[in-house]
Amino acid sequence: MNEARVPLDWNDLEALTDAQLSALVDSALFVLGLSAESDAALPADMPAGPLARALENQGLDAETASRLARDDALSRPVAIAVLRQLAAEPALAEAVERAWRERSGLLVVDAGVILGAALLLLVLKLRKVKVHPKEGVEVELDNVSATALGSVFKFLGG
Amino acid sequence: MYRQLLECLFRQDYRFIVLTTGGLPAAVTDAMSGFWTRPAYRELGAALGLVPADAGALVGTLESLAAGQARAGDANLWREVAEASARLTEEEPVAGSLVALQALAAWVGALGEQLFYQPWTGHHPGWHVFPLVAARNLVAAEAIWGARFLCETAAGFIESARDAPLDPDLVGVVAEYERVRAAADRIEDNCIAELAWALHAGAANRDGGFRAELAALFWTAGDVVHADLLTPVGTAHYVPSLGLVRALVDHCLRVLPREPLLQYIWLEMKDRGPFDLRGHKILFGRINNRFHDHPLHEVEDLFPVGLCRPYARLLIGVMRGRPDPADREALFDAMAVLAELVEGRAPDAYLRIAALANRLGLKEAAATAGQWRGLAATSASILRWADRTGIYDPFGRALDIPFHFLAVDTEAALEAGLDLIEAYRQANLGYWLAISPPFPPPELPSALDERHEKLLQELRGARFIRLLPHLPQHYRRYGYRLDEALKGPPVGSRPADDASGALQFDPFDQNRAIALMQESWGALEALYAEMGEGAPAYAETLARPPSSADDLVAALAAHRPRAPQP
Repeated sequence: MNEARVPLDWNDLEALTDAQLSALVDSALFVLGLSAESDAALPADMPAGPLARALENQGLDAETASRLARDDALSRPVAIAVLRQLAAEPALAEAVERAWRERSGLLVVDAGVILGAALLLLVLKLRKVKVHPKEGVEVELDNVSATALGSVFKFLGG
Repeated sequence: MYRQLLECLFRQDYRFIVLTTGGLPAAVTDAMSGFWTRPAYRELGAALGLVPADAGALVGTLESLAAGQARAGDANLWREVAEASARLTEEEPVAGSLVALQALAAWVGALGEQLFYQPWTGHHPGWHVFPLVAARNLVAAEAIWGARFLCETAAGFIESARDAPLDPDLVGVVAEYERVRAAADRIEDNCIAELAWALHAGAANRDGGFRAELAALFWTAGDVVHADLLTPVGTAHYVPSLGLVRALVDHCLRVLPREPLLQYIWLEMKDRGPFDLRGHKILFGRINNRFHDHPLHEVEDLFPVGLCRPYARLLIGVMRGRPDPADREALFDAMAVLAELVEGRAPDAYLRIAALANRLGLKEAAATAGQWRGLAATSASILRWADRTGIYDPFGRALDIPFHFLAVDTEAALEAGLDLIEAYRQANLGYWLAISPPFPPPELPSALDERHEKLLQELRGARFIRLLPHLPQHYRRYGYRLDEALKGPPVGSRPADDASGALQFDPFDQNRAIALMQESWGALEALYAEMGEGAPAYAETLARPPSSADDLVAALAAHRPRAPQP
């Protein structure tokens, strides 16, 4: 049985296993990545060093950026914090969940790495996300990125 | 072992390199001083001078401990020291590693020549403690090259114990070493990802970037297609995928000790933009290391002219579209002196240097095309040589280079090219085809068949000796017949390291194995000729290459559809 076929409760992301959460983060990265510049490097591909520098460029202090990029223990809470803010935009949540369900049908061997810091970076970089490109539906990310950053700082104690 | 470990640490691991170049940091000496003045260890520390005043004293103490010249404390105390060093590592990783290395050295020195003693009753239990603690601490200090060396040596030795795979204690210890090695591997993977990222970003810049250097790395690794795409005559905005660059960097780091041509291309990237190669500290220690494993390293050490640097500079210039005549002259001058030596001892390097010279296109087009065909034949002959002498270090794609330049503009050129490709494909099948001959025909005299069997056994044995350095250590356990040992060493054999044993020669002598392989091949060829008198078809099958363009044409012709019958 594929784990991702269980109902997704956006209010209880903590209940997801690492593999499920990793798949959900990948789906969010996929949906957001469609709105990124085509020649820009995707955060999901970034090693820790460049990821930390990119987070710094988005206004985070060097120490926090480095912790977020390098500390594996932070990836899960960061991912949950950011996903929770994305879920506040119903159209975006629907698009991410749809991608998550579609990807659950694929035979993907996932290492289960949760790319929390990469998701945070993409949310910080993007101003708008095209949720339904054909129908021209776009979601503004300014609020999402501000609140996501706020909740990350909250549990980092910043 | 200990000397190799120190060489690895102080030449490749940046945390230890800086100890010798920049002196011992106060934090390290303070932490060591604090450790060795603890009541439990004060006496031991004072007796052996274990708080070093400088890097020279540090290395001197480690060496004298490992040589057994400085001794104090018993095994239990040193074991306590090793275990306590793990906690020190949490506070100061380099100091903790140095204390663990001191404990390791004391244990090595105490065992002396018995260190690698592996009787049926089992090896010394210190193998399960001292190298393991030192390796763990080294990983914590990001000294991954030394840590990996320790893990490979210790786990390999423990695995070679009697019934090791069935002994849960030994399996547990080996698994622990594997965990430490995996931690070192993860650090290396991250470093490779970061270096690949920087190189990938630097390749996008056509002017000040490392585009030409990346192309030179691709070329030297045998990937001419991607190298050419990055040159000025390639695709203007082409940048290889990050995954491809990462695979290339990974390949380079793996083969660096035996690929000086690749190493010198990396060295051309240091101390200039677009990124700071020295900043990739963990990898730079290895990239910048002076290895001694390859014939070209000997050339660099022994001769006033080097080949690797002019090769790297000229190739980068060619890839940039602006080869410097001075670099060309330097490479050609060096080859005028060293070509024969390089061709004989490092033929894959010779091929790449010759291919670079040919790429310069200094001759008429027809002559250049002929030279590419000659080099393609050389690629096949190098593979054949490796097959016949038991060379197991893979060439990767390095020998593919000439095949990218074979002419295909006429039918004759295409056919000649296909023959060369086929010869290359079958070049390293010789051994496998030789040792699995077809059933002998009834007309073959049984004496010849018996000689054939015996020669194949000798060939297999010699080739296995050549394979041993690449196999796990437990393959190196051996027994021998006393009557054979008492006959004395065979002619040309290397004396045994342990002169006290009954076997007075090294049974794993690699040079002797090569000589035996060559003798066996020669004897087999003579035998095939002899067989030709009574069983010519069988002898022909054994002696001839497995296929040729003529065979292919004959096979295709045999299957030509027949004209429909009226």
